[in-house]
Amino acid sequence: MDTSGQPISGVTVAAKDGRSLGLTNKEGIFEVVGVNIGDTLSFSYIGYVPNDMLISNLETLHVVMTTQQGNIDEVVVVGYGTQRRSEMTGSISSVKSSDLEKVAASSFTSAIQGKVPGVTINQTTGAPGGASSVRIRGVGTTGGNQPLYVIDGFPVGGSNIAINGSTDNIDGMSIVNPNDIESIEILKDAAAASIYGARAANGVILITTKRGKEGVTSADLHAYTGFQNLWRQPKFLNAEQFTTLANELYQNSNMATNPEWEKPGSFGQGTNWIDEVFRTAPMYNVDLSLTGGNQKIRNALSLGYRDQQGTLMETWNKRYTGRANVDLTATDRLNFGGSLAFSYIQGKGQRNEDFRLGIFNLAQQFYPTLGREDVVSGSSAFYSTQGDNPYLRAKSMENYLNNLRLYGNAFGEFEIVDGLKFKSSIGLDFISNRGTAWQPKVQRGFYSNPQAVLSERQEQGLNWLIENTLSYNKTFDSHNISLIVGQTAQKNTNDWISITAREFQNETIRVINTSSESERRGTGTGSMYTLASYLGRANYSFDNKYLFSASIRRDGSSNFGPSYKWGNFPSISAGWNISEESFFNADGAINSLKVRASWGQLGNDAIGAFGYSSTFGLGRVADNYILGTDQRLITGAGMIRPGNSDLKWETSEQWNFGVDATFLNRGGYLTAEYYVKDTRDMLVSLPVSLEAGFESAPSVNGGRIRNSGFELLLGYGGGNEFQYDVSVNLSTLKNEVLSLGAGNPISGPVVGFTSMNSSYTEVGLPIGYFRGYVVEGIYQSDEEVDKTFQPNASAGDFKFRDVNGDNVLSDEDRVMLGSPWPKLTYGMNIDLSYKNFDLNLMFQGVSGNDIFHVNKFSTYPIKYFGGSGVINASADVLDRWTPENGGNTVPILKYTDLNGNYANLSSFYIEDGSYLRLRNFTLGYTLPQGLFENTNMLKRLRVYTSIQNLFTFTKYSGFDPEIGDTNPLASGVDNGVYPMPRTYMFGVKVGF
Amino acid sequence: MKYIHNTFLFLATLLCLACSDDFLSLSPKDTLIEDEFFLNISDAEAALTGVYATLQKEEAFSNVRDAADIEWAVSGDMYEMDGSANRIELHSLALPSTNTILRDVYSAAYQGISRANVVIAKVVGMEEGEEETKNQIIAQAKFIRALFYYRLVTYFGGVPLITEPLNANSDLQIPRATAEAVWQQIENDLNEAKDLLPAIWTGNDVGRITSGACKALLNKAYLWQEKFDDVIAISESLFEEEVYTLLPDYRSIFMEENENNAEILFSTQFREGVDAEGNNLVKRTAPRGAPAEFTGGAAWSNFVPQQHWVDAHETDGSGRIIDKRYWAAIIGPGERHQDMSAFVMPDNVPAGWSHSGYIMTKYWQKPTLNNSGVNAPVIRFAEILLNYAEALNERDRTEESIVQVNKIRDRAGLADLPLTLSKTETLDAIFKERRMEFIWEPTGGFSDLNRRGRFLDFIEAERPNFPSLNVHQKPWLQTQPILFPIPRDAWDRNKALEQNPHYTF
Repeated sequence: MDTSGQPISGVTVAAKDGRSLGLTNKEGIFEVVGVNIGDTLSFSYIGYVPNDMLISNLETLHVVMTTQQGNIDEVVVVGYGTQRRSEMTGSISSVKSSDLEKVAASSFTSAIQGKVPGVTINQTTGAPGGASSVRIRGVGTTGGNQPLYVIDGFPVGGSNIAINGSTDNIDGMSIVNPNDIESIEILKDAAAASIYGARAANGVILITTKRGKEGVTSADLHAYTGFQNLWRQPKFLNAEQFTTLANELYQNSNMATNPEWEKPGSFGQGTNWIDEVFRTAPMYNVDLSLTGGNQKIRNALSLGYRDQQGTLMETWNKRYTGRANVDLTATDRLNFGGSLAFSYIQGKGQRNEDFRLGIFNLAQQFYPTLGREDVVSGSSAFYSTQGDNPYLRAKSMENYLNNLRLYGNAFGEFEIVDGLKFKSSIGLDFISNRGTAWQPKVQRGFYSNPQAVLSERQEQGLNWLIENTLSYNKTFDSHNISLIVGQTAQKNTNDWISITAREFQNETIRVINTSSESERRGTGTGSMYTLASYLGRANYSFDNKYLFSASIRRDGSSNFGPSYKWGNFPSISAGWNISEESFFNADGAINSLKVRASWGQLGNDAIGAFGYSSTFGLGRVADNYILGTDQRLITGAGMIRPGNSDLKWETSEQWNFGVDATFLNRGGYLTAEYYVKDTRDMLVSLPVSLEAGFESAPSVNGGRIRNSGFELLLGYGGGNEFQYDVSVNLSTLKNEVLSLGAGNPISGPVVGFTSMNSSYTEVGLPIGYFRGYVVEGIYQSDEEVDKTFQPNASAGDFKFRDVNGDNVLSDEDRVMLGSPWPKLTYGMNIDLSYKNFDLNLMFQGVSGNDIFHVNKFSTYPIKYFGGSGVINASADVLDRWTPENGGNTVPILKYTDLNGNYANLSSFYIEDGSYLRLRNFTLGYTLPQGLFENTNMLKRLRVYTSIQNLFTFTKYSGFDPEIGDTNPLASGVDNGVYPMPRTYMFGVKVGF
Repeated sequence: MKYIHNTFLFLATLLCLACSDDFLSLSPKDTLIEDEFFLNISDAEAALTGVYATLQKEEAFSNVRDAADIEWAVSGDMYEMDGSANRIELHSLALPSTNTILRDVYSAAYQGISRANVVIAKVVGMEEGEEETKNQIIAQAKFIRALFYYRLVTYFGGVPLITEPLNANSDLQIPRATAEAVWQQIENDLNEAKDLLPAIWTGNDVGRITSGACKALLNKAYLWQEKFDDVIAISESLFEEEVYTLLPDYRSIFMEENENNAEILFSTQFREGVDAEGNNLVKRTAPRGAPAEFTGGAAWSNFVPQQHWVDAHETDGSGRIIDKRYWAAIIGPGERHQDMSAFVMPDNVPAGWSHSGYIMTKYWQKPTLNNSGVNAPVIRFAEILLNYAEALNERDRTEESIVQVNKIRDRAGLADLPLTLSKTETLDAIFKERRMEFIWEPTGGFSDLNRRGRFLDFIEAERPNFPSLNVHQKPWLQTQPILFPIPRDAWDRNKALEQNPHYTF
């Protein structure tokens, strides 16, 4: 069997002298005669490391085979076809289902984290089913930078699913149950991805689902259960510490202290709001899959159910999935096939990442002097009037999502003459999304909602795709030719309506009809997108030694204006299988060696719709006015954005150089690559002068960015009774903005109600880096302060560095403080197995990136900057500067921050975000085969226990260093991101 | 078998024909693209409505950022309750170029100007439509453009002067024009507009800009530039229209039932309800924490009148205030609300309600659930009279000036001033009336003091926290007039801008 307990049929069993003794049957069982104890048997099968086993008894011999990762004969799915790995000239990484199975997650994006060099995946939230941001080979644009997802040949919208009223987004790819996935191919370079033309600039991820195989019938049940909790809880001030420091703050500012807090000692510990709001959350997952088939029909069916609670109270995610894949061989020339899948996701989310009213933010700010169900009722001089009790708030607000996705495709393939095939396929993707957000009428201390409000939103979308391709494959003499030409058309439509209703007589009945009729308002609109393309590719190889490939795609998109409607995206690549040459010693340490290179252009058409034309809004709030003696609403119009008729797609031009090798009897494998990816005509919504008065700035194709780096994948496996397989991957990234056209540097969006921009982008530095003042320390006395440089500073305030030496604190003193992009991402996977036990360890890490820990704006000063009063703070604030104790890290506690200690973006906020995680630890046991010989039903049983995020090593001081974001101008910004949990699981896999 | 072949091929070819360029040319579902807009008069009217809509922003002319955060908090007569960093930067006179309120005011002004420019240019070029209607549309847009430029030049000095619509290909690195050039543009726009607009609108057009509004804004523009003769002439031209007067009852000027009354020359229109066509004036003026049955539920009392301002009102022998404006617009400890008789301020007003114990009630007339429909008065007749009086006084027609001042005082129930006051005493009296008349309105506070160079002396004499302001360490306060810094955000995007003296970006 293999390392996960699946039987392998057809394994050759041979004696030491090479004499074949037989094959394993369908259940992986073999029988040999004529051998003695002490003899060695050797087992070999394509795709697995050959295994020699010593016979220790004459009853049973249990043999485990490990897969060869670098199997050069393995078939890899490429765009519009398949290829053998030995023939590939492009850069494609594969992840097989056996690897996906090791990390239990709702979406495969988390399962491949840290496994694929060049692909950086970050969770954007620790909410159950939470969304990931997936970036392939750096960031090439300020706009949409997520890759194209293709499921069984059908490009599928993979954008994250939002929960109405909440910030917890659900991963768009969780519509695919990872258990249904046979393999994932990531097309990284231009040669591999250019067949997808105008949508491929950010890379392409191909997902192939499991299909039935001839002669194999199986039924598998996989169930696991577990619980999650926070793996780290930074400390916050307890009630006694908070009241002490609050009093100190008011005294420092010559203000009256709160009489309620006169005796800090009497408060004791108080309430730990993090404990109140976070909990240990259970989860369950059950997957059932059935496959079967014969020569005529093959099918695969599966069903799955997942129920995951979130560590933050009142958040959860449920998912039901199902799939049916069918393949039909009508005649020896005609094939049909199809698949249909559904996914139904329900979720409840909360609003986070909001300094004022985010639940997680409030849990860090709320008063430890108050009990779980208390509200704020003191003076606004001391208490913030803008917050709310996080526990009661989370319980009272309800934000739900119901998302139904139905997608499928059908194809027919006809072999016209030998080698020439015509294939036509049609795909459909239907989405129905329903969101509900409810807030009751409430008065909780200072927080009041005068009318209960219900917001219902219904969204529907339908995408269809038609593809026709003609392909020709022929091998004659030593030449191998493979050609494909094709045509595709795609249309996406999407519509939504939303109703907000207020004032409910009876708040237990929550539908639109029971609200006050005059208080209902509705909005709604829709959008469309179309794409038409022609594609062609030619592969040629000679003697399996010299490989050439060229492809071209011509795309017309509805996003492009009349001036530039169609774009052409070519690529060429070549490879040399050195190991096939006669001069190459095939018996040496290196078994196979290939070098390859590619060049190509890919496009990005996610430039927004109608950017080429000026658009005018009608009847929006910003356009309407009131006039007349009876004060009527008059609908108005206003220009939203001036058009740019020269608008076109972004082009990403890539070079890639790679080496593939297997060595040491195919037990080891190596892939090393170097790439340079230049994006030009990058769309920039240039920061238009305020004086132009545009509501939205026009987009221009102005920028150029370069991403470059090395990728390395190295692995080795082997062993006999004790099997091991170790693989390591690492990739480096250098990102540099080469030009912003005629534009000025771009400041990223402002964070919350601070006046700090989340990033800065300028020529010569990485996109979206962090820029601000450098803090040299704290002024220890008033005499130390340079009043010309910092006129508003006094003892206890930050001392900023005068970078240009002109003794004036100005923009020129702001420097690069860090960047959110890791310079190095790496992972290591260790698989060990001994007899019936298996162990998997998966490490994943990033290094060289920084985090903008803007949450400190809210958790350090104690003063609440959005209004009046004070709020709780991190326990780190106990190190604040005082005249007696000095201190050089946390400024003096004061009510007004005249020096801008917190208002200015400075090195105080930028922390090293590097981390190394033990992402997965799994220990499993497969029951011995012998136990099942007499049963008809049960064939295999494996049990395992697994812990995710067992250890994390990091210097970051926040809750978790994994801070992801899909907006490259606001990445690595921690403003109270729902933290990632540690998960403990126990699971069972049963085969029937 | 052949049958299957053929149908298959046929279907496949059919599918191939699905591509043509029409397939790829879509129109947006909810907006209009340029070729489809500005074709007829109703488009032009809709676009003009869009220009009016820019007035409703809090940082434009809804009596929030201008009237409260700037005018009356900077002069110190109102107290800022929240300790918000951006407001503190204003009233502590720190005035950094990163201040977000100034940035928003600057940006909102240019959004209004930009929409007005589009309307003016497009309507001039329109073929369809009657001349008179088109001229009225252009005139209203010109007034709003002039109003926003007035805002910019009085706060920031000379600013980039843009009078044509811009597009994606325009050069947007526009340098500042001189203050004189901006004033000239304002005068041109208003002089052209006043002759094209009616003196009164009726029915569904009530609330639009009248010729009187144009003359009123000219009155303010001339006064700022100290063109006193022009002030006198334009004021008298306005009086001749016989449309506007002082209302006998002070509070009735602001009542929602009495909107667009004879004293209001121009006010920004609002309507209550969930349409978001209301404003936050009730929320910002009603006391935070007071019972919801009177405030409506959300009340923040962002600014409250200061004790020293209240004390500046004229009193009778027993110390009771005789100025009717106090009783019409303010409530203090133990006092009953002017409209809601059930609401009485406690004797010890909680600090959360008001730091000083006083609440301004011009806009808070009834409990308001969502947004208030009270119109924000921008220019009213009382201001025109006081401006006229100031100009007369400067031209040494002091007695006539005092007569005008007395009209204001009469309405306030105060005794007439003797006609024998000196020129400086008259000027002081005019400023005194402004201070009592226009609390929480966009005039009469910082801006008027500033243009006459009276601001520093005023705050030294009046603001209790004057010593902590460290005025002498702030060189930007020594210019005449004091200018606000050009916002940092504006310079980030437009490097052709130069900063005002003594400020840095």
